[in-house]
Amino acid sequence: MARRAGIRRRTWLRLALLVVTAIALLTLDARGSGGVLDTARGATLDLLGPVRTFGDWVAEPFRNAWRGIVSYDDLEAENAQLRGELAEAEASVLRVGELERDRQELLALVGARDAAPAIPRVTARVIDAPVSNFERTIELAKGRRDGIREGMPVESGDGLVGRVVQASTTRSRVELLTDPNFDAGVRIVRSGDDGLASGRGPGRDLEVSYIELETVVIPGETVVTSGFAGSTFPPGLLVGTVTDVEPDAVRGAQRVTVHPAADLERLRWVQVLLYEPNVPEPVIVDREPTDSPADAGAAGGQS
Amino acid sequence: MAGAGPLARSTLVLAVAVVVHVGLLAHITPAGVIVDPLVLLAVAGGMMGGRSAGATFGGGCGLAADLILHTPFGMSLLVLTLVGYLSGAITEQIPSAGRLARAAIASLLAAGGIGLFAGAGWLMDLVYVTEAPLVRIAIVTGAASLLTNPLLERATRWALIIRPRMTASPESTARGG
Repeated sequence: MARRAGIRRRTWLRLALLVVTAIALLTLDARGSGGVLDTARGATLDLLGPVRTFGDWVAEPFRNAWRGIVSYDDLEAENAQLRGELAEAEASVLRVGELERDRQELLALVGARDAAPAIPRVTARVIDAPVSNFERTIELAKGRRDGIREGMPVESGDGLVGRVVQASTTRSRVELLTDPNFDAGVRIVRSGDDGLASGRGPGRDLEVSYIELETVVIPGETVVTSGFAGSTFPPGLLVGTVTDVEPDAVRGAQRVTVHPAADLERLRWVQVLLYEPNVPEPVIVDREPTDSPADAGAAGGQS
Repeated sequence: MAGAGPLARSTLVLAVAVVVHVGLLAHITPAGVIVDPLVLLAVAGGMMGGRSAGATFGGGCGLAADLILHTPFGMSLLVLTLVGYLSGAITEQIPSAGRLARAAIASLLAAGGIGLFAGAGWLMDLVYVTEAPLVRIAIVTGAASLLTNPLLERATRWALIIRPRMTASPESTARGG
């Protein structure tokens, strides 16, 4: 009887110890002071990286074949749509080329240089298999070794995808812009109004708050990152298009719904912008437009 | 490995489970659900080892899951410790059960484990957990447990050095844990 009581006591003690450890770890993680925990997770990510890559490599042909079988009609329709878009894109390439030349000429004229090309990018493959049903991130097959750091923006060819939340030596994890924890300063291009875009969960559109009631926002408008000082995103990254606008009289602002431009369900390759917000942004204007010697001479003559 | 203790054996079983998870099961998604072998192992550990060994083995499964998932660190440790403990406690209440009955119990416990995880997610206000298709995940996890339970029972019996028996008891707890 005494032996059984002893066993029971030890069992309770063991359970209590494990539960307390779990709560302590949760607290450490929630306080953001989980340096050791992050290191352990990063090391595991690196360690399992080759296994993930190998599994992905083996599974990809089967996955593609399966997708081909179950969504053949969709693929056909998508193919036709893409051919149409390609024709449109080819036609607009010439126009864009002309505009770019004009822009470069204007920049040269005012003595400014382009900030956008100053941000280097790393192209990374997306490991196409979350490890959990409760996953809210995607995994990239590149990490710190390639210059990727936490907080860096990630985009696909279509638009903003999210930001890096964990970077180990060879791998990194990206929080998608639809994640409820995600927010970013954005600008509605036509009106120039700034707001805050927040994720609302997988498969849902973003919500942009703080857009004034007086501002006219029309569905279909383009939304880009605003790149406020301290923002983790540079200005001008395409976020998506406005799908719905609702006035919120209580907050005295409008609630704008934005559909992400990037197709988050079919990400295969993405680009990480090696942009660190703490680093001072590049100076856009190299030199102040100087007054002409004639003007200077005139000014000197007046004094 | 035959002479190794429960800690070394359990570590090996968990390592194999993690590799199978990330390398294979992450790519096979019946009904769009990823079967988490660590949940199934925590249940099997509790059923084979009893509540004490179940809690420890479940804790090990949880720690492994915390290392590979991006949920708050400690959440899986907490949930799978409880899953292991409860699996042991419930199995101890059931007298000798056949292989099929044990598989059915494991199936229900695994599905319950998903419910427990969802409950923890709700307490922590994790929308990506509470808004996941929980019923579908629980059904697929339960079905996977039903199919794989004999194999998992063997693996946990080997890991915890337990001789074959029908149900766990507090005595087996003392030996296995």
